[in-house]
Amino acid sequence: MTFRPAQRGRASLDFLVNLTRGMKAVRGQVEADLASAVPEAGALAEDLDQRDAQVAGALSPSGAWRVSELVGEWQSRMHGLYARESFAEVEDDLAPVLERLQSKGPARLVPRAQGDSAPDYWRGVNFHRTAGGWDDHPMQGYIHGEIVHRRMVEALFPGGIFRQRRALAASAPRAHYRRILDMGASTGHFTEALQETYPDAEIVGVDLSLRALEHAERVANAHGWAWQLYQRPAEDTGFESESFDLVASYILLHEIPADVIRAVFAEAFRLLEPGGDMIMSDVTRYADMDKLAVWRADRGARLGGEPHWRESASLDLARVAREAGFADVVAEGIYPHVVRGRKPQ
Amino acid sequence: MSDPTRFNHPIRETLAEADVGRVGSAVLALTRELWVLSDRMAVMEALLERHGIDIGGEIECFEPDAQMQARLDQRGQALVEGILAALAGTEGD
Repeated sequence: MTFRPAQRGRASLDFLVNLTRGMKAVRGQVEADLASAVPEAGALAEDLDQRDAQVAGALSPSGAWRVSELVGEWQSRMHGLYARESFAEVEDDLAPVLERLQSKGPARLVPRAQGDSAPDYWRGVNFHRTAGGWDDHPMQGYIHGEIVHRRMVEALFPGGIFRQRRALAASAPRAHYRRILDMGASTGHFTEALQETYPDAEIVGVDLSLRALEHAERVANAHGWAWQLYQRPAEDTGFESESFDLVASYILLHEIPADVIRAVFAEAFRLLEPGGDMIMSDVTRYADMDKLAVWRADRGARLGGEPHWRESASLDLARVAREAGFADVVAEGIYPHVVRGRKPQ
Repeated sequence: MSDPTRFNHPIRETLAEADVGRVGSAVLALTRELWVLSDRMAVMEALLERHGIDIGGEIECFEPDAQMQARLDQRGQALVEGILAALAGTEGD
């Protein structure tokens, strides 16, 4: 199932990675121009839209800034399309393997029931500005999981995003769990980290994207893992109360609005048996950044297909967890920001 | 919650009229790089064919080892840096 691109696809994906790396000098110039254009960051507006207009306006004379905008916009539009194109070049060779892994093996995938629809906060959204959204291309799960993530994100993520997932999975307080729920399992990358960390655990995953879950199913079958995967919202899983001893999520929360995040924590609390553990992770809190860092993150989210990032990053997740009923709540870390808690006995 | 689909196609100002001349320079610089590469590929394939080696298929499924990937990345970054410097007007800075 490993992605082996043809020459055009391989060189195109490498070009995208090198385009980001090659931006270093331009980024440095932008930072220098920013320091000149906005000498008093503390005086910037509290309102984030006003702040963006202030800073972007102050930077508009900077050629480096305009180029960084050009490159950022081009990468946002093209990364998914180049990934699709590189997949199409080798699709015929991959098809038999992908079909076998989706149809044979111990994993089980339960699609959304007929008549049910995706929540408004998800339907029609091109998250990460992926053309057509998560479920448009029939092999979007493979394209996102194996090409965008394993080839591009992993190449650019400081310290390695897969290593970070394994570290988070291993940070749960117990050495063994009986039954684990991965909220927002997507293509199974964090689910894999959970399974490898707790090899004896029964693993259940939920996600809204059927295409992503299909790839998670292939990942599970490739390893002989009996994951149970459901196309259901994390805030309303339909599972029996007190049926898990660990509920976890990796960087899911910024993809959902604040009221739904509260519902996700409430659902995690309901699903955990007394004494069960919760670990949720998300992007850096705005409260942990200065005004310019918040401006960067918020603008990146707005232009990067992240409609719920601002709401999520503005939340105090420790408070949300306590309000849901969790005890021994600790929230720490910059990226990921991790909140842990326990359901009282 | 406002309509989240409005994030699908955000309005983003990038280059201004003042950048057009630099864009022209960048396109020409890129065209030069492309032509150098095209010329080199054509020469290489012709020489190999003269020696009885057809490498078209092998090129398609070639997987660079770590050393070659590092060399490719180095060249790729240098290419990008040259184009971006042309766009930003910072060549030679």
